[in-house]
Amino acid sequence: MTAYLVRRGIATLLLLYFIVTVVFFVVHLLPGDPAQAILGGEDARPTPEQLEYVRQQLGLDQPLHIQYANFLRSLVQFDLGNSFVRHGEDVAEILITGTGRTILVAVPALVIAVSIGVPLGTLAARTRTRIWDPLFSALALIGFSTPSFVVAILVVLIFAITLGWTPSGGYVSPFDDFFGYLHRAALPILTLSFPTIAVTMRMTRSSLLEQFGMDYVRTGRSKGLNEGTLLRRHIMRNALLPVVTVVALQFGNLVTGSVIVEFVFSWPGVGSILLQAVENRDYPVLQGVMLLVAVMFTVINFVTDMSYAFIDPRIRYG
Amino acid sequence: MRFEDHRVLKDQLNRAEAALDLKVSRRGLLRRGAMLGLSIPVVAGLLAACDDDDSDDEVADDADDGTEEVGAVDDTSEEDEEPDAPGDDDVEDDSDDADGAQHGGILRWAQANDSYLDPHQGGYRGRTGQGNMYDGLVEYDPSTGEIVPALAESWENEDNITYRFHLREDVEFHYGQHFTAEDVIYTIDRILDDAAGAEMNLEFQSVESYEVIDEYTVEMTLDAPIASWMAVLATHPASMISKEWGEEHDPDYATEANGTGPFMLESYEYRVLEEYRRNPNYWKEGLPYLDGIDLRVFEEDSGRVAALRAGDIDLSSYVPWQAIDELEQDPDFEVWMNTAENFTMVRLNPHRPPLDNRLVRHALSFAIDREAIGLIGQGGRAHIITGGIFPPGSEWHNEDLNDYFRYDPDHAVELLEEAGFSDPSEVEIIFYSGTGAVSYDAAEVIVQNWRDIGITVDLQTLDSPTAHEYRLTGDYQAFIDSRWIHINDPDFYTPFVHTGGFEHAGGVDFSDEEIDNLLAEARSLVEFEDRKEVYRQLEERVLYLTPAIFLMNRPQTTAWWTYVHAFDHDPVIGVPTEPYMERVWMEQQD
Repeated sequence: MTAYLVRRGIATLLLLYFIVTVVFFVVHLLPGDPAQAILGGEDARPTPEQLEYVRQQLGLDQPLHIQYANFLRSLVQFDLGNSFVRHGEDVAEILITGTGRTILVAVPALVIAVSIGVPLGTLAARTRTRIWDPLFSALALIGFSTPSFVVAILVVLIFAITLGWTPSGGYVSPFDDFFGYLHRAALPILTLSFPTIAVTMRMTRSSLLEQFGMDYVRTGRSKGLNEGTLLRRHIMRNALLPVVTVVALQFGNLVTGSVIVEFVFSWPGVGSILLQAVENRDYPVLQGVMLLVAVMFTVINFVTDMSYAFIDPRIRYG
Repeated sequence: MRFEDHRVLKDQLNRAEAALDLKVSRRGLLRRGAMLGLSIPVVAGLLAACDDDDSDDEVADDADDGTEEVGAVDDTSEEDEEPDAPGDDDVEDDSDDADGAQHGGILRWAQANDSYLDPHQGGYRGRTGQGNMYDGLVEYDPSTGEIVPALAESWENEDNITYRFHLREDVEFHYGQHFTAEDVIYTIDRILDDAAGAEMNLEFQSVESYEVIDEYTVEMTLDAPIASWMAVLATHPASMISKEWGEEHDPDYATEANGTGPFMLESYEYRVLEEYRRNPNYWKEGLPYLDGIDLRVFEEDSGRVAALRAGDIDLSSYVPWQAIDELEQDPDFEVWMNTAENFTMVRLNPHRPPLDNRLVRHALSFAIDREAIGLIGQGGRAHIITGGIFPPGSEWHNEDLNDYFRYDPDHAVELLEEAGFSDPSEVEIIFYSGTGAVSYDAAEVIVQNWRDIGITVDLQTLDSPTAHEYRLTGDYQAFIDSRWIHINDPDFYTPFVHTGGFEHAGGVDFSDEEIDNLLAEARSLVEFEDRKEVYRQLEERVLYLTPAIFLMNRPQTTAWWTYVHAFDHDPVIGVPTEPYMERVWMEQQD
């Protein structure tokens, strides 16, 4: 096990290094000037001297390979640098705050998705030939086919404008006002959970169906085990493996891919931060977000793999 | 991993694929299709059954309760007070009623972007933040467009070269420092410092000397007469800062604010919430009416409108034109379009063939159906420019130049022939556009127009920072863009068409001696009539040379609940309302 972990660790570090390097060069070679964004964006009219001053402050006047070397040096010291545009804020702090906010909607969305998706999928699998399975499948189809901004706008139209149950967007910290947070987070969470419920449901259903055809199920039934016990004690454990994989990947997507939802609901999470960083050519933040995404998926993959060993004792790493 | 594990995992992968693949039998497909088909009208029916009214009632119910006064308000307030600040009396618009103005309330304002707090940073984002926390020596009366006293009570001016300002003696900064002539000097020092990145840096370079005469008197001398100098001083990025606070505190102006303006900074969370609170010591007696402003950023257009309609927001800027009709028809809302200080144009690079031929540039302009652009791009709410940039209604508008470029594709083809292109497809243009709807919708129309007369056009999109880089380097043939007139004076033509002008001429290396001379002449004149005549000649020359094709003025639309008052004003180009939030008030509700 240790040897495996060490190998895994080294491979991960190499991968991260590669990602970080590619991102650095791609980002720096994009046309567009962060100095302009700092001095007021499109509307503003900075003089060449002002632009030059800012570039010097940011070290952008140095040759690219020197900037790269400086970047790597800071990185190994766990220093992600300061944002160009956000008034010199520390990138790590920006990311932590942003991730926290995204998690405030991503985790509830995931919990809802699993709480609804797994039971629905189970129901669909068990009642295959009746009305529920086709109905759920149709809903699932809608769920993961509908683009997230369509869902978002519909949800705002129905719940915020027509019914007036929730505000249409904006952010409030749960530590400042817990019910205010719930109120405002409701719609983004709903929007995010939509496709996730669908995928989870489909995955659970097909995974269960696969298990139902297996020998040990027939054996269990002929032994006289009731359906419920059979399901809980034997089938679920086997069926859950692929579901866990999919759910974990969905979580990664929820945290890193919610740009559109955050945009529509003005929820200032990682997605928003990324979008603004691209718009402003805020290199340190861009690099930071990319690194964050890479690390997050790496961790998710690792945790998922470890969980296999837990769920299926036949799986061992060594 | 062992063999079994590989197999298990492979199974899982297959199953995952199968799950997402939805392999079904034909009967199963039909059944699922029927389910889906039935569900749509059900959902639609549910939506249609819902009425729009419910959500509006919450907030608008007490809108007519005009006489109620909120108790917990600053002690300077009085019931139905008549303010004596300049400009409030002159408004003709019927939604602004200085006689009924009430104190109190926190205005919730939706914006598309965060604000800039730095007192010398410009652009739209400065208006909302620094525009309301700081004051300049002079300011605009938004109702009339006249320049009126602000921190300077009065001034003398000799030949537009030497300006002497007499300052108010009763002004305090938010943190208590007293405003004196030293602060003016300190302010100008900062604006001229490259490190500050001040918007008006270029303009202030014309100041040859500036000095303190006595505690409340300052004198500035320019290096040449500049008729638009007072307009420069009236813009919000020319705001006064405190020397005492600056030296003692060494603040980061991007996150801290200490001004003389009607509102003080209470909190600032980037792109989430900005809280401004009333300045109880504001030098305009009795103002501001509002207790504060909470500014929230909603980047997405429909998000802002949704928030407004849901009652989360009292006032929303940048209402997209698609939402205007709906809001106008709703009696709960007031919709206002400012004067189009924003104009859209196609920048041309007169050094890149075939655009190096003036006739070709003219042909391109005649081929464009501006009306169509206005309809498609702005829902018909733009003012089309067929002549000079200043729209009718502006004192600088030149009526006789009005139809210089009417829509005439036949004439365009004639011009191309005259230019030596008997086959229009030989004219090849790579046309850049930003991704924003404003530019892109117009770009699509233009591409179609040009293709209709046979020109070969390739449309490419750029994101904002890239677009901006090309703006400065001139690395394009044709590029659709919109800019705003940042100063209420035709001298704003200078950065566009004067040799080396950073807005356009510098980037594409456009230079015309006659234009340079006309601009210099106009700047040095004092009388309006004289200046107007010279600027008329200038516009004619600019249209003749067509370094850029002007398309339309685009109004910015703001919308608010009817209990909000005094945000709008008579159309005066280049004079925004956002920095004058002290005039705004809300009817009190529970």
